[in-house]
Amino acid sequence: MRNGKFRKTMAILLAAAMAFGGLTACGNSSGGKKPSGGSQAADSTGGAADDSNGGAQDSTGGASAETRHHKIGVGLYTDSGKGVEAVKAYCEGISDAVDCEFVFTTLSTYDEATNLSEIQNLISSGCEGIIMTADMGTTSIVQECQSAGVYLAGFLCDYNQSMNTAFDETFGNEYFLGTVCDGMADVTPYCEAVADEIIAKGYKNIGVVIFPSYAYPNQTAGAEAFKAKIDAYNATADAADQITVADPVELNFAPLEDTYFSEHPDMDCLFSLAAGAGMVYPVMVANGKTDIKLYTTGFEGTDDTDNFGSAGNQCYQGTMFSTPEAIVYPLCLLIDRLNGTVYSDLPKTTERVECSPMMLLSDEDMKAVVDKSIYYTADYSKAFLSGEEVVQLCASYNPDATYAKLVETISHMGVDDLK
Amino acid sequence: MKTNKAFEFIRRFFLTILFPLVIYVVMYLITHSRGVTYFGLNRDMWRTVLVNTSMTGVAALAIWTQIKNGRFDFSGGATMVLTAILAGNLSLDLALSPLLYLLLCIVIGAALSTFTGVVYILGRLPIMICTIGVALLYESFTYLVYDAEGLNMMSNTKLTVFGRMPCILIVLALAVTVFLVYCYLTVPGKRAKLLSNNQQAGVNIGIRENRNVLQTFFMCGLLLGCAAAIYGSNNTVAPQAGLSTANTLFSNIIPAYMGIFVGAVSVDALGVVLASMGMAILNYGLSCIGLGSGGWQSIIIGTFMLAFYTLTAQWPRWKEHCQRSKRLKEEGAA
Amino acid sequence: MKKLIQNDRLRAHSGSLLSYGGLALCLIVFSILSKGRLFSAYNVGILIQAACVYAILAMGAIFIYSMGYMDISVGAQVGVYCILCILITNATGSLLLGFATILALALICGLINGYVSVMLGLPSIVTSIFLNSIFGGVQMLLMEWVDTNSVGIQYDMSFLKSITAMVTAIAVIAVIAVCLYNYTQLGKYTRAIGANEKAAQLSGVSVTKWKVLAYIFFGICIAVAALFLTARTGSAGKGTGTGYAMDIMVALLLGGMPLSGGMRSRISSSLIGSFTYVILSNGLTLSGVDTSHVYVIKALVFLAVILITCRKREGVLPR
Repeated sequence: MRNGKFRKTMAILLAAAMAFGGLTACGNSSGGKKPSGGSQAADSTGGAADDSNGGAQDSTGGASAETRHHKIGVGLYTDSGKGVEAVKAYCEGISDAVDCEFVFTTLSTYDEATNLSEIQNLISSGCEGIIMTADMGTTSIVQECQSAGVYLAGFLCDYNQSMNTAFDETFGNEYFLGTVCDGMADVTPYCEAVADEIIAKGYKNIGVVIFPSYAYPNQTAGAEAFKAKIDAYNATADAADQITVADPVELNFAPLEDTYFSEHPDMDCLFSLAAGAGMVYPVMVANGKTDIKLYTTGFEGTDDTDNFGSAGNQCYQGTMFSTPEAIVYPLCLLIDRLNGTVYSDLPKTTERVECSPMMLLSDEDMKAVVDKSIYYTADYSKAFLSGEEVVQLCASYNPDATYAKLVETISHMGVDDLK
Repeated sequence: MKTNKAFEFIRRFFLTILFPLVIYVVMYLITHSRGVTYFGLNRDMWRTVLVNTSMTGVAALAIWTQIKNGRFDFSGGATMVLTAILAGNLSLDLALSPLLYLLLCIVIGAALSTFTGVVYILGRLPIMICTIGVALLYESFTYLVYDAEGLNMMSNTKLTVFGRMPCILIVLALAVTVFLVYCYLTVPGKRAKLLSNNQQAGVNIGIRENRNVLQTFFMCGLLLGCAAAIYGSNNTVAPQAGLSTANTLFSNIIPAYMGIFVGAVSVDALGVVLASMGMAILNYGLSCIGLGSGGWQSIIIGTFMLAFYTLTAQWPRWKEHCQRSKRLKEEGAA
Repeated sequence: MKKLIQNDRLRAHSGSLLSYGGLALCLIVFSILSKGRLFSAYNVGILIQAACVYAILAMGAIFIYSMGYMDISVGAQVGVYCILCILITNATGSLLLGFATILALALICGLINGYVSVMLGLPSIVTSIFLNSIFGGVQMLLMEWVDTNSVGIQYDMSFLKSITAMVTAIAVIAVIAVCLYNYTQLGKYTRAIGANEKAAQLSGVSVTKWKVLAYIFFGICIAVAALFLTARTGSAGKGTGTGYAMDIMVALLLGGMPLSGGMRSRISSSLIGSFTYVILSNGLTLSGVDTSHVYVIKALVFLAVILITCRKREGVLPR
C-alpha cells in the first residue's frame, strides 16, 4: 500500500517534470513570435548611436523592408562560454529586424551521429535553414538537408575536412550555401605578427604547438611562416640576439604534456596555434610555468583576459579569435535562398570566405574588446551590425545588396574596427 | 622480539612501496635508454608526480570508500565537479581565503554526497541506478549555476594554493587521515565494514543501516570535497552532461582497485595513495618517451592494468597451490 | 483466489506496465508540446533512425545486465568497428567482408569479456575497462594512421539507411533476442546468474559457458549496430561511439531494467527504453526547450522513472 502511494507520488513527480518541460517550451516559443520590423533592434540601437565603436547603429534610419519570417537552426560546437553567449545575444538582438526565429542546439566536434541527430531534430522542429559550426558528419547532414529541402551553411568553421575529402558532396551540393571561416583560412599574417612581436620583445627560446596537420593544415603552414620570419631575423641578428625556435609539437586534441617544459627548460615564450587557453595554459599553471609568455588563438574571456599583457601574471601576450557577427554571412545567404532570391554577383561555386579576426597583441587591444565588443559583454548594442543593417545586406530585402558587400562587411570586424 | 618487530615493519614498508618503486626503476631504465635525462630526481618531475598523485589519490580514496562498503557510486565525479564550481565561484565572489575555499569544498561535497545518500535511502533504489540518476541531476545543475560558465580560477595563485605543491600534500594527508579514522577508529566505520561483509546479518544484529549509509556518504563527501578543492585549483571546470563525469570516475578507479593489493601488507589507504603514485610515475615516464597521450598510452595503461589484476587475482590461487604442495610433501615424507 | 492471482500477475508486470506508461506519457506530452510534429512522417523516420542503433545495442546488453554485469567498452568497440568496416570496405569494395571482419572481432571480444574474466577470476568491470582502453587506443591509432578527422565510406549503403531496413533489423534482432531470452536456456541462466551467481553455479549451471554465450550475442549486436551506424552517418572518426555505454545504461533503466540483473529483467526494457530515450531528446528539441533546461528535465524524468520502476519494497537497502 505504502509502495503504491510512493509510486503515485513518483508518477506525479514524472508528470511535473514533463510539465516543467512544457512550461519551458511554452516560454521559449512565445519569445520567438514578435512582430517583424526591427523595433527591438531600433530600440536597442538608440542608445548605441553615441557609442564610440558605432556598434549596432541603425544606419538606415529605421526604414525596414518587408520581411518574411523564417526559422533558423544554429548548431554550436559547444554549449557554454562567452562565445556561445555572444552568438545567442547577437541572434536574439537581430531576430526582430531580420524576422527570424533562432533555435540553438549543441553539436559535437568529433561525433557524426550526434550531429546528424541534432540537425534532424532541428529540421523536424520546423527549421528552414541551418547554420553549423562543426564539420563532422557533414556529408550525411547535407544529404539529409537536401532530402528535407532545408538549406545549410557554415559559420566559424573552415570545413577543411569536407573541402579536402568530400568537396563535391558538400560544396558541390546546392543545399550547402558556403561557410565563413573562424577568422582567416590562412593564419600566416597572425603568425608573422607574433614573430614580429617576439623579435621586438627579445624572447630567445620559443616553443611552437599546433593541432595535427590533417585537421588544421593552416596551422602547420602558419608555424612554417612563423619559423621563416624568425629565421629571416636570425640571418641578420648578432649571435647574442639569435632566437631559437623548437620544432612544432602536435597536440592530438589533448592537453600539452607536462614533460614538454622539462624538455625545454630554457623556454621563455610559447606560440600555441592550438587552443592555448584550454590545452596549454592549464598545464603551464600546473607546472608553475606562467612566467613563460604565451601567444595563442581562441579567446575564453576568463583567465586569458585577467592575465593578458601587463595584467595578472602577464602570461598571455597575444591571441586571435572571431566575432559572432560573422554569422551574418550564412544568415544572409540562407534568408535570400529561402526567399527565392540570390545576389546578382553570387559566385557559381559555393565559397569558403574569411572574416577579419580580432588580433589582440596589446593591452589597448584587450581593453577595446572588453569594453566595446559583443563577444566579451554579450551586449547587442555593442555589435558591429544592427538587425536593420543585416536586412540591408540581404538581396531579397534590398535590391542593391551584393555578395561583394556582404563579404566586405565581414572583413571589417577586427579589433581596429572596435577602436 | 624488538628486532622482529622492526624487521616486520621494514618488510611491510618495503613491500608497500614496492609497486611505485618497481615502476620508477623500470621507467628510469626505459627513459634513460631512450636518452631522456630529466626522468629521475628532476624537481619538475616530482612536482608533477606528487600533484597528480594527490589529485588521483584523494579521488580514488573517495571511490574506494564506497567500493569498500559494497557500493559503486557513479555520482562521485558529478559531486566533485558541482562542488568545485559552487565552492570556487563562491570563493571568488566573496573573496574568501584558500582555507575557507577548502572548507567550503568539504562542506558542499559532504552536503551533496549526503543528499545522494538520502535519495538512496528514501528511494530504496539499487545503488548504481540511484547514483546514475543523481549524477545526471548534479551534471544538469552545472548548466544552471553561474550562467553555465563553470569554474575558471586556476590562475588565482592565492586561492589555488591547496592545488599546488607543497600545500596539496596537506589535502592528501587530510583525506588519508579522514579515511583511516573513519574506517578503522570509529564505530560507524566498523559497522559499515560489517554491513558490507553481510548486510542482512549486520541489520539483524541491530545496526541501523540507514544511519550508517548516511554516515558513510557524509564521510565520502568529505573526501570528494578535498578532491574537488584540488580539481578546481588545477583545471578549468566546464559544465558536464550525458554522464561524462563517469569518465572522471573511471580515470581514478584503477588506483582504487590496485590499492587493495599494493596495501595488502599495510593499510588500504596507503595502498591507494601509492598505487596512484605508481600510475603517476608511469604516466610521466610514458610522456618522456612520447607516449603520454594518444592511442599507445591508452593501450599500455589498459594492458598494464589487466596484467596487474591478473597477477594479483592469481595470488590466492597460487598461495593455495603452494600450501597444498607443501602439505602433500609433508604427508609424503611422513 | 482468481483476484489474488490477477493481483500477483499485475504486480509481476507492474515494472513493464510503468515503463510502457512512461513511454506513453512521453508520447502524449511531447505530441502536445510539439504541436503534433512528433508524429509527422519525417519525425517518425528520424526517431527510428536514431533509435535503431540504441535498440540493437540495448537488446544485446540486456543479456549482460541480466547477469548483473556491466560493459563500458561498448562505445569504443562501436567506434573501432565502424572505422574498420569503412576501411576494409573502401579497400576491398566488399561491404560483406567489412562486416564479416568486425563480426569476427566482436565474437573474439565477447570471448575475452566472458571467458577471460571467469578464468582469471577478474570482475567483469575490469575486463570491460581493459577492452575500453584497448579499443579507445586502437580507435585513436587508426585515425592517426588514416591521417584524417573522419573517414567516409565509398560504398553505397543507402539500402541499409532506409527506414524499412532499420525497422526490419530491429524486428529481426528483437525476435531472436526474445526467443533466446524467453525460450532458451541462455535467457533462463543469464537471469539465474544475475539473481544469484553462486546458487546458479551450485545448481549445476555452467556460469562460464552461459556468460561467454551472452557476451557473444552482445558482440553480434554491437557489430550489427556498428553496421547500421556506419550506414546512417556514412563516416566514422575518433569520437564515433562516444557515450554509447552510458546512453545504453540510461536507456535500459528508462525501460525498467534493474541494473543488478536477475529474474525481473525483460527484453522489452531495451526497446521501450531506447525509444523513450530518443523521444525525450527529440521531443524536448521539438518543444523548443532551452539546451540548459533539457539536461535538468532529462535528469528529473530519469529519476522519476527509476523511482517508480526500480524501487525495492522491503528488506535491507538494495546494493
